[in-house]
Amino acid sequence: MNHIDARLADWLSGNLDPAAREAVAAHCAACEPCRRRLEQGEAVWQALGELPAPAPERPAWEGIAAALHPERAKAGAPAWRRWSFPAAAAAALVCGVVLGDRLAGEPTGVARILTDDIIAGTLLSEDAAADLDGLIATAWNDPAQGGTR
Amino acid sequence: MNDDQLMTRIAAGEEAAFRLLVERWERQVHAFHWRMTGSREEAEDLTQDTFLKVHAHAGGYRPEGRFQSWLFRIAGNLARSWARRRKIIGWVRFDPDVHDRAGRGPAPDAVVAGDELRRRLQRALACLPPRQREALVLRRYHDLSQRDIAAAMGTSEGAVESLLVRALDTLRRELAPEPGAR
Repeated sequence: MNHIDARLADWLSGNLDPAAREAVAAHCAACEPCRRRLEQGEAVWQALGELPAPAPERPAWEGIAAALHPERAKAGAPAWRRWSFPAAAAAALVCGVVLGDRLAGEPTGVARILTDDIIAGTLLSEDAAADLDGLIATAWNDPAQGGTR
Repeated sequence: MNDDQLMTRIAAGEEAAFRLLVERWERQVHAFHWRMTGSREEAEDLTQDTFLKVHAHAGGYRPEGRFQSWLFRIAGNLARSWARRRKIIGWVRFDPDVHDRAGRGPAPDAVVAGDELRRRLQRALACLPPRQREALVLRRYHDLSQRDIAAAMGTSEGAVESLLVRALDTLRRELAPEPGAR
């Protein structure tokens, strides 16, 4: 049994009223085990206060807002993640044609025509179409799209 | 605007009030979860989960000036569930990098001694049984009274006192100078 258990945490955190604090101090003055226990407790308490906790790396609100409004999070996703499956399949087809053209040596323009048809068929959103156009331009180093060829 | 007033507005659907509440408490909640899990990533996920539960249960909150203990009750439940899921109760990773302190410090010998003390203390804290650790963390770092800790942990004030005393005894023993040490 220890004589100061009931007041130890309050003593350490400074939450004892003056009368109770005086009573603990008086007890410890006459009780060596309790005095040692109190002194060691104070050392632990102080050391605990010197253990820092890291701050969050990103504001919690970002993830919370995304969880509350998943539709907004989807709208803010990169263009390629918003493409529907048919649009993605069409894009893959165009890429395949572009690659085939390139392997054949000379551009036939098939890829660009095909892209226009796909866009006209509204399979792709305007953003996705622009991304695809850029992809093709890059593949052919199209100067009109900022390429160098 | 105090927490109870914010909670009333959150219950009425005011998202701006919720954001204000999150920004007011996120550091404390994150620090609590970090001390309970020892993982920054887990702490961030659990912090988010804590606030989503606050939002979901805002309608059931009674504005009686006890928001902090209500908040930490939610946080504590999530931390204990996390520990049960992982089946690694009482285990926390120790990341020494987290405890590096920037800025001018004392002499090299003292730094080594201070770092060693912090490492031992961190390990000892991590090895406490979760309920002891939770009571101690709430008392030492979040300044909750024993009454509020009891409310947060769903137990009695006497049980909290016992948890605190046992936790402090364990840490005292762990930090006692080793035999033969200088």
